[in-house]
Amino acid sequence: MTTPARILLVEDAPDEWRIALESFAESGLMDQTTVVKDRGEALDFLYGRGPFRQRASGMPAVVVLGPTMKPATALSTLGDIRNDADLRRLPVVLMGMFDVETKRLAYAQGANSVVGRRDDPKSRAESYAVLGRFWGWANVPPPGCIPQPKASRP
Amino acid sequence: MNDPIEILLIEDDPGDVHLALAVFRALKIADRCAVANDGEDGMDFLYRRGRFAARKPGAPRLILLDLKMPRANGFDFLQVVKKDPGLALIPIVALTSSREERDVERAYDLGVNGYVVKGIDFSEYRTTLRSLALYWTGVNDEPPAYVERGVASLRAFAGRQLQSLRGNLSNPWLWPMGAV
Repeated sequence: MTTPARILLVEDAPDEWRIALESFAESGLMDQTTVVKDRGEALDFLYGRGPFRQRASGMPAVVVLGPTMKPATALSTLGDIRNDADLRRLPVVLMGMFDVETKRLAYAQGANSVVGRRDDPKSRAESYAVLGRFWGWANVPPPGCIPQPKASRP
Repeated sequence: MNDPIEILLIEDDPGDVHLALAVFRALKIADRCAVANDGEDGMDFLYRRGRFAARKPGAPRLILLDLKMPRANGFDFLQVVKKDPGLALIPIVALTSSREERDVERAYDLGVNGYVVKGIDFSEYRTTLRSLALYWTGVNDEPPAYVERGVASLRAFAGRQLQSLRGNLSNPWLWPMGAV
């Protein structure tokens, strides 16, 4: 069994993980974040299969589709989640540089939020920190997800 | 109110409105926050009718929605707004004192983007409101603009009118006398 993942980050660029994890660390979420590198791993994680058979139970409170994911893949992953009876309510945030139509599609297909990618690493770190504080602490996820922490937030 | 509205707060409890506005004031967004007193009033805001008939067009970046309210409650509001293609994409976060699973589940099923519980501890609740406002007005990218949605709705409306006109043309009973 591993630590339950309150945040599932789908991202394959190590530089991006570092920024995300360091920012989540500020709000005490680093050790509650699991990083997977693509759509396939994300689904394996969510279904608790393959390398994630032994993972701690409970769904993440938010799935973050990272900024280096191709927009089409991010939309397909969102579709996989929304079309599955057991996963459909999971909060999903898409990060990246999206054109107007992709952004509209993301919301229309049920993305909870879309976060534009900031080029400057410092602004990006700030985005992750604010994202972590909202989705990791303030938001009440649907039943079945890792619940909000009871301890006082940082 | 000349600036676009960032947050539409739909809340019937004056104490909760006061608290939320105090947090938004500290973040310097209070003057771009509109308050509606219940779901019906919230719909009046979005559809620019009733006491909001004269407001400038434009959608808020975020709707903060209490769930338990008189007249139209939060669930009634969601049922109407999420079915209107011109409004359905506006992010809505439930802001409620209910932590009941049934309410959380129902709110997500009706399409809320997030669900926040009003805390009993004042300072904790203030921190929650602050994170919420910072995220939804500072980090979240809003859906394509209301104006574009307005145009889309207008197109859909024009399409429906055209279809109905075509229907009328194919029905000789509706032709004016003498028309071929």
